[in-house]
Amino acid sequence: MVAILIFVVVFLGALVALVVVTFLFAPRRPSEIKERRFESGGPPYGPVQRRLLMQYFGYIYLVTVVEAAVGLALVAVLTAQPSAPMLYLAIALLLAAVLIVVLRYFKVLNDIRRWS
Amino acid sequence: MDLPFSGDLIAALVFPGVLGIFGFLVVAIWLERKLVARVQWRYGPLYVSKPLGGLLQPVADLLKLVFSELVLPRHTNRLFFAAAPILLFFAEGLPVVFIAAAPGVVMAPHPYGLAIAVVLVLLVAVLVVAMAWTEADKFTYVGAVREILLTAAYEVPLLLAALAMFILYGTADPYGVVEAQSNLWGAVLNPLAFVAYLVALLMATTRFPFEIPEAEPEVVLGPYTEYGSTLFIYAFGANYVKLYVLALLGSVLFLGGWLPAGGLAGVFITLVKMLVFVLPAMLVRAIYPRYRIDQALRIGWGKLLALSVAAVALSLVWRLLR
Repeated sequence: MVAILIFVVVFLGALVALVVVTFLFAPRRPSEIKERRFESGGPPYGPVQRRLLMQYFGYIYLVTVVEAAVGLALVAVLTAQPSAPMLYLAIALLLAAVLIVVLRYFKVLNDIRRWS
Repeated sequence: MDLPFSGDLIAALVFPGVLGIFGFLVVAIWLERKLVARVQWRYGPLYVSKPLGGLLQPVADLLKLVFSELVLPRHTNRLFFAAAPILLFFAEGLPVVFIAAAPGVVMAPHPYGLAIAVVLVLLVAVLVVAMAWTEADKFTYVGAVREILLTAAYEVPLLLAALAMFILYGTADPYGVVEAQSNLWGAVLNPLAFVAYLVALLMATTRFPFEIPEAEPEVVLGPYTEYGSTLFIYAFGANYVKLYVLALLGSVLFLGGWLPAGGLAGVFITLVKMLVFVLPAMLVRAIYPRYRIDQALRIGWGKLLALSVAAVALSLVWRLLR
């Protein structure tokens, strides 16, 4: 526990200290241009945080479900008895189900024109 | 060879702790530039410390950045803008708390240590997105969306590769995992999981060919666009820290960690084994072009998912045969 505390304090302390060094010792010549949003020479974009494009977002739905299932399998493996054939069978069935779902929707996920 | 100080203190301050993280940042940047230069028939950096092959060039670059003007754009929340890269860099390094570099050289020995480390690695993507959102720039915004999608591509294969190895070893305790590899390394027992992990590592650290969120010709620097000075070091260096953590985790999971030695020699062996993950990650920059985000998603949910599921199946077969 002491080692973790030392690690956190020294690591975080070093990171903050370097920023403080920059703040105190780096030259400062503020100007309006420097503080502007970077537009790469293009016309101003306006408010940046806007509605997301939905293309490929089917993957996000997929990952929330599959990741939860894999997480459950991980917990089951780590907390089960050393040899549990039924657990292994359950994991095999779970992964087969994941593969079937992904295969079923793979083409749809890749092509937004099929989303309806 | 016994360790001169208490192992957990060495783990916290030297390796794999603070000194290891900052040292890796310097050496990895230098190594990457040198290796890529060699592939492209160039010398790479030599201006600073020529007798050392330019090893101190990254140090000079980092010092220059520390003493560059700290600009906090006025359209951002300045406190969050300054705090985000610090938190990101810190969070990327946090999983080393649970990974042992040698017997006794671990900050928090835990029976589920490696599983906790994997989960911590996966959680950090949230901070990249938060940082990009705080910067409120169109390039950071596009970078954040790409980061989310790329995370969706590699998370499940990475988890499945880890699951395959935990099934094989029957534990997520770093000591148990290394002991289980005393005869044969995990990479030999389950090469499918090893390959899946390596590809997922390239995606997680946004190395080529998956350098999509910060694709320079398209989105400037993606999630790091607005940063300069010390904050840029943290924002940009966080990926190197993730590479360091995943290489360390990989060497314990797949390459037998510190075996066949212990103590100080074990620490050096772990360091050398990390190169198996670090060198390919550096070299692919010189070899591969960049995928589009939809191609990366297709790889993640197609071939890589199939490979990682096959890896779990192989581990299940091993366990049932045993």
